[in-house]
Amino acid sequence: MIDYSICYKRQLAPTDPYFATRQFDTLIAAFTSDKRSRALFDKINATRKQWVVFPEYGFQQSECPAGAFIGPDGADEAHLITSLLDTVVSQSDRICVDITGFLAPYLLFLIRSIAARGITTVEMLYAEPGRYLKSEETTFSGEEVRSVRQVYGFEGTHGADTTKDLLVVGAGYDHQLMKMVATTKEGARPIQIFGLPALQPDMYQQNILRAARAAEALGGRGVGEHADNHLVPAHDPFATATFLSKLIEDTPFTNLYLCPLATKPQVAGFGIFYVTECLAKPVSILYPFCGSFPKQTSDGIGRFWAYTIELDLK
Amino acid sequence: MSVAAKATVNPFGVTKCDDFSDEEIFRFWIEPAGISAVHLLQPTRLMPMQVIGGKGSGKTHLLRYFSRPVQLMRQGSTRSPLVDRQGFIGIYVKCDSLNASRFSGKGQQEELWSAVFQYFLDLWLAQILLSQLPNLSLSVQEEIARRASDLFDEPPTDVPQTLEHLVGLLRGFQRDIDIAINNLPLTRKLDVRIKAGPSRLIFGLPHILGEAVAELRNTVFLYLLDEIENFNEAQQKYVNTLIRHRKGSCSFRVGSRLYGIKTSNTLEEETNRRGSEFDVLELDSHWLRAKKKYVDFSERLCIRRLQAAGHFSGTITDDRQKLRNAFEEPSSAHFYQDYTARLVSKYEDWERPYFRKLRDQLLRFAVGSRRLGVLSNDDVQPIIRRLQRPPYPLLEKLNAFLLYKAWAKRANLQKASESISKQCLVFVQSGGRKPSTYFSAYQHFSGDMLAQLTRETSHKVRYLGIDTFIRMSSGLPRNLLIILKNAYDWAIFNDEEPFAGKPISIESQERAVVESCSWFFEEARPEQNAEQVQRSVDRLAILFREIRYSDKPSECSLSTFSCPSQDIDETSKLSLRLAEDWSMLIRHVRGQKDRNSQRVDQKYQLSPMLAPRWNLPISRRGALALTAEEVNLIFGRAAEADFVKMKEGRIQRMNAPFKGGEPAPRQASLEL
Repeated sequence: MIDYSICYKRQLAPTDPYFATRQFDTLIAAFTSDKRSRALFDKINATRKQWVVFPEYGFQQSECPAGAFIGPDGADEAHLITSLLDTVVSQSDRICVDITGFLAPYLLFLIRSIAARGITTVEMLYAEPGRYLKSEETTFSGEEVRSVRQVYGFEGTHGADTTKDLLVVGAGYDHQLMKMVATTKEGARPIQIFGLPALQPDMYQQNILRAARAAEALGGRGVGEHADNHLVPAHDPFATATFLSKLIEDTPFTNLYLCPLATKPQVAGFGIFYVTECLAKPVSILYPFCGSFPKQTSDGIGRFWAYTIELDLK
Repeated sequence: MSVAAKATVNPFGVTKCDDFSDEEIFRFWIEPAGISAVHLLQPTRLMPMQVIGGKGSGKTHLLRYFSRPVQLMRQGSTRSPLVDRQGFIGIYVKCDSLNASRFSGKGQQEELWSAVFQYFLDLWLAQILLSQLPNLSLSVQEEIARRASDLFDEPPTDVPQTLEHLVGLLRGFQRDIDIAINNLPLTRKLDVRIKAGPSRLIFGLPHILGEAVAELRNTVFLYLLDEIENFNEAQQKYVNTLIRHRKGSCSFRVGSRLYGIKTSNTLEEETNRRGSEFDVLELDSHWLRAKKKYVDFSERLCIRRLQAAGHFSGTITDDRQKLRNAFEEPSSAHFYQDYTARLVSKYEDWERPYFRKLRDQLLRFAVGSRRLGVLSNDDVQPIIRRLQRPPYPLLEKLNAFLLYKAWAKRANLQKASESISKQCLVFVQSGGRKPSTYFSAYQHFSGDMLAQLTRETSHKVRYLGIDTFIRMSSGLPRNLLIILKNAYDWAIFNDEEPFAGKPISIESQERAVVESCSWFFEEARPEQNAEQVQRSVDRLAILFREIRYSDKPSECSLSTFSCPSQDIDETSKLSLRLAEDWSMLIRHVRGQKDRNSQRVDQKYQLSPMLAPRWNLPISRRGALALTAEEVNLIFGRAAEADFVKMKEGRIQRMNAPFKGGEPAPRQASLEL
């Protein structure tokens, strides 16, 4: 088991010296209509600052910031991120990524691709929401799921024996997505991770209310106390990665499917864990791919976080 | 075990057989009534077969029951693990385990993916086949492994000596493909070397086994490919090619959801035809056709679960009775006298709501009509009085309904009410047994009138009892298990002792039905066009509901409609197809003959699992004939206002004062 909590994580005050003292070669941030996804862009010292616009948000060209890297329609996560990194990053770069507005598959492939380029350290920033726009009824994805598939670069070497398959779901608000994934791997034993402490005090309850709607698909054991329901801090990628690392040490499995549907720090935790421990193993990350995502889901800004991701812990 | 301890284990807790171990698949297997599973699947027959069914229809249980591990359990430990009278080896594969969506996109040509997938599937099936074999002598293993090596275009440098080595070799080849695919987005190069031609392993290994192991000489190697919907069209073409060009003693059983078969073509674009290249077993329609057998099967399914949980332990006949008694239901004796008396009890000092409504309507719309025989306000009370039969509220509702029918015909309501009163009296005196037009009206409309009465007295329309739950499940056993699971949970929550003490209360059953219905509606959600389909079903159900709760419903127990095939727009066709594929609508194969043109129209029933959502009936009697235009307004992209206009136009004819003309009756006349 790897204890990822040795990695450096700090909460940033708005006037934190971090903003004045830390210097990066490149800052990458994803553009959305959420105020929090734009909050850090101007505060970070970076030689090159690059907005990236994901096509799923449906922004018109005129709405995008000048110089933004606009992903072409129909580009998959590998195509878009590879093109982006080819454009803005060289191996010696000190890279900083504001993950607040990133969509999960792009964030995951970004981690995989950075590791594959031999870059071992990357700084990630995250701005928490003040509140979600419609509380527990907030939707974070378009209604139509195009397909549930493995995220590129996270496709494991699975075996034909499926008797002890596990499906670990980072349970978010999108209960339809959770159901879709559970349906795709119906035979796997579902394990749910809920974010606690949540990003805001009420968000845990909201999360539970939504996840309960997918309970039947996820083994029917509900969202309450159960040996397969776990709590991991919503803001901490390292706690998530550590949890997963311990899980595979303690739980025998034939195939392991991971599905991060919760907060971006948790998504990052899944990605770090996979890249560090799961390559060429019967482990995959699954994701329900949607054609569209809302441009804005939250209002206000909560805490700022900086995470120093190390991709060579093993 | 104490009741409290029992209560913690819901006997219906497992609703998907994916959650069953092989042992549980064997233990909870229920042989279909009338026709054995062996006869259904015909495992020793070389003709391939598709097993098609809705979600929860039992496909996986059926296919896994014929898989090798369960075969061995069936035959018991006394017989040789190698040979049995069954004459086949079931090689079960869940297609989702291949993660087949990997084999497309990523900037590669589809032809390349197709070739890689074929090779991968061959390696996968070969590994599963070899893992099903029992211990063989080392010399036999060596022969098999050596000859299997020859199946490769490039024989391995390290020729395997045992089956374990051979499986390891295949696993290694498979891993090479896995890793190449995973690295493809980074390297942009699919570096896979295909070492065996298509189908060589799938057909070659059984051939070698048949020759090397005497006891396998006449054995059918049956590939059970479950959930083929996880394969894309090109991948299914390969399976179709295997089916068309199957060799030796190999055959296939392919399980799929209703929407899962994407093509019947092979890689060479030849079309496999039902009856020629394959047979089809349609599980849902099998059960829908054999209703009594389905009831029998469902009851035994429940009893087996309850026996396993320690609730039941008697003979099947005793346990059937216990199952029936385990749910509280209102008595239908004397025209639901007790039940309906409770419904109207709060109206002791007031006029019952249906008569109050009728009175208001007569005063408002009928007074002054010589034809209706209602010249003044004073003419209203005698009509109402004649319809009253206080001990039997349901018959009062029926009387009011029959008066509405007479009103719609512009008949004299004084005479009509006299006639209704007389017939009602005779009906009551005969104990509801003497055939008459009144008797027919009761037979046809008592369910709807009971629902109306329940609603008008501000109570919930109820769906109670095991018979109702079985009918609601409409050929999909999982639906039944979900209802029972929820009923059990609610009973425990309400401090009841399900299957051990008093019957499960009406309240617990009500909550279970509501929950199960919501689950089904959410679950029956197509991956594409979900909103459009759910909106269409919603519109259809609203139309049914307004008809059912109108003064003079045109059809009894309305949950079905018919429509022409012509002039339906593409969106509506797609919505209809998806609703059917996801079991929200059940299509009746024989259709419905149009009364005027004798044309055979399509006929669909709204799933009884959805009926409670809109307080609709679960049984099917009348069918609403919709025009193509109306179908397009319901299932197409029409604006809500246009749908509402059409709906109101129809409903107007069924509510007093019955404007808009009387549509020609579609059922046996119930004139009085």
